Amino acid sequence: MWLIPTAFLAAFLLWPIAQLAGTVQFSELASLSVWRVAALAFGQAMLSVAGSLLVGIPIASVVSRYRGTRWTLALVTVPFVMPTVVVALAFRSLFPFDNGLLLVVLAHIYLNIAVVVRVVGATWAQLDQRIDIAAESLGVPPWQRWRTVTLPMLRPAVLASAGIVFIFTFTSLGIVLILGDATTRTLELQVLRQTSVLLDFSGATASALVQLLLVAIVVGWLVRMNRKLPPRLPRDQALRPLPATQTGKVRVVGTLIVTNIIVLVPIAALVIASLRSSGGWTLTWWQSLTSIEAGTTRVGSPLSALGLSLTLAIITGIVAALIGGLAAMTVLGAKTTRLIAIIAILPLGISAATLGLGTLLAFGRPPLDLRATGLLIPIAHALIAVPLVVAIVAPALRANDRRLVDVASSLGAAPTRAFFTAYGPVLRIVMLAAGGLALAVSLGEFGAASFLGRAGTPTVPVQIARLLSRPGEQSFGVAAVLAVILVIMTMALILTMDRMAKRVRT
Amino acid sequence: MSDLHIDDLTIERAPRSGINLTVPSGTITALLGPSGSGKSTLLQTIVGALPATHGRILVGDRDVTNLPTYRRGIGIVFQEPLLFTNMDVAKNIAYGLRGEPHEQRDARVAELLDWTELTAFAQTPVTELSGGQAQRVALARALAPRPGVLLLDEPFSALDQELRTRLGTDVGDVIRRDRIAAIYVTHDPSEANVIADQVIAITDLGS
Repeated sequence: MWLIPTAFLAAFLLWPIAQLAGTVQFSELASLSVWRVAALAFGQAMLSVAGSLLVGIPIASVVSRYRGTRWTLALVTVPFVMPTVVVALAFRSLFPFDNGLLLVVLAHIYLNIAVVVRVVGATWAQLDQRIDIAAESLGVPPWQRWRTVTLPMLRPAVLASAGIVFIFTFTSLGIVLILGDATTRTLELQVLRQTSVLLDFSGATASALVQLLLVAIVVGWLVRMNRKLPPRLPRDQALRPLPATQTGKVRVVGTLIVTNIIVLVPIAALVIASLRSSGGWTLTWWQSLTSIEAGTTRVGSPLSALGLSLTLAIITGIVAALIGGLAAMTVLGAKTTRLIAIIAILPLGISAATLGLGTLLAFGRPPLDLRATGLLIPIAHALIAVPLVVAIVAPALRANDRRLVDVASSLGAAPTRAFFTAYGPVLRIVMLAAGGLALAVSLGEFGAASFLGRAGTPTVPVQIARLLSRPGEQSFGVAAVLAVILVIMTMALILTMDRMAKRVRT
Repeated sequence: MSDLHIDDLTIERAPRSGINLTVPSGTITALLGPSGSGKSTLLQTIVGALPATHGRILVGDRDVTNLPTYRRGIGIVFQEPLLFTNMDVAKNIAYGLRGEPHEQRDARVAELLDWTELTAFAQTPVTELSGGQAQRVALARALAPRPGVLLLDEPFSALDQELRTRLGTDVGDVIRRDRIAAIYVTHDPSEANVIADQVIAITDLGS
């Protein structure tokens, strides 16, 4: 059971990272340009974190605490699962100005509201509202009470969410590539440029390792922060009715309306962009899905890109569910094999560019060049999705009563049959759900695909980025059409997965 | 100190309306009733956490009905201590004394630490206290700003009988000494009879 995930992780995760570390020239690590980009990315990430907290905390104060906010909470999660290039395109069509830093920060805030709302909101829901009453009955006005009692109690959750948003925005690629300028470069983008434009593998390796090191420091800090978070109550138990006062009701309902606008306007902008040309409303861009080759041969056919993305996503879904599922099963075994589940989580802290570059160094050049096989993208996507599969499957397996295996065995079932009798029903549902999530991850993934893709047909997110780099309204319109299709496919997958997860819970 | 007057009070969605009640200063009024009879709702309205749809709440001759919680001068202690976990014992007690001169604040905190027999725990994080110790800190915290009215919402029900009796007697002494008007909510008639100067069933209030 543990042999397959061990071999997979050793070959496609540990070996590429070892290649990366082995290639680096230490003089490159001290290069000023690497650290200059790191400083730029740091500044941008800090602005994105501050913005995400400013927008996310007021939303968390409402959607995670009051009944009747389920729709808004679900809606807030939508941007987080949207492919980054799609969000970039939505912001490009929404805002006419060209300030790279502002656009990048706004798009990052949009993508990461859900992180703040979910992490801070979960802790906020645990705070007994009578603590507010007790504090204010001591003569302290609400704002001062919020500053001296509520906020300090939320501190671990606020810092934890800030750390997660920092990692996402510090290693951002799709957003900064499409919306950014010279002031918003990230090490992730630097790795891509050094690899594919400048062909400076040594510099790219140094950039990737510096980023890996900085992210590892933040992850270490996050792990410490997570230990301080209180245990979570079930959401329904923690929710309270809307406030009784008129001003309280207005505040809550107002927040809900603003949240809906924030989330839905960029999506609406995307749909409108797919239906408009300089001459007015049109279906031309949708019709161009099959006929665009004539004008844009170099970027390939949108339909072929969709076909390729779907094929790769299905392969990723199967591989990730298999490897992640087997890795998750090790949590039921001895202590030594449980290490596999921990190693399987590792890619979560490793950026797509680092993973892509490592894979390229290990399997993209002689003596072992797998680029032509087309397998490198699904392998990289599977590595990115495996931690999510483990995160879904492992808790479901742990929650199952292990004594069912003993009961089945006592009735004469052989070990394999006993195992599947006990865990089969749960496994069937969670593996499908996890596979669906892996599919969604693969569909929207941009970083690794842009590293490992061949010159010919790209995946849909890469296709969108290529179209956006070309002038002309046809490129923009078709990119918008592809983005809308991607959003619909991702949402359909996430909703199906959510339904399956509910079936497991019930 | 002042009496508490509740005059023809009606609360939205509460089981009772037109509530009239007077609690003289320096006395404890026990409010009896089963779960769901509206005792806690009444206390939360008096303290200002829930709005009254009709009627008045007076502390002495001051109408506090439409004042926010922090301007009412009414303290409250709940069944759970609900301490501020980001502060130690002394800081919890001092919380309502912001704005007072340092010497006065420190003296008041020291006095209440002594009263609760928790002087040695002044700098202890509140998460390390036992249930009884935490509830004593909650009482000291509510008493620190010398409120005119104190609302006690089953504050001892999670404690054992011996501690309950002792704390009840100690709090009763302070209430009478400092001339506070106190409402003590409970569903235990024998406890109500021991601690209170007058015992009222919530069903006898309003209609």
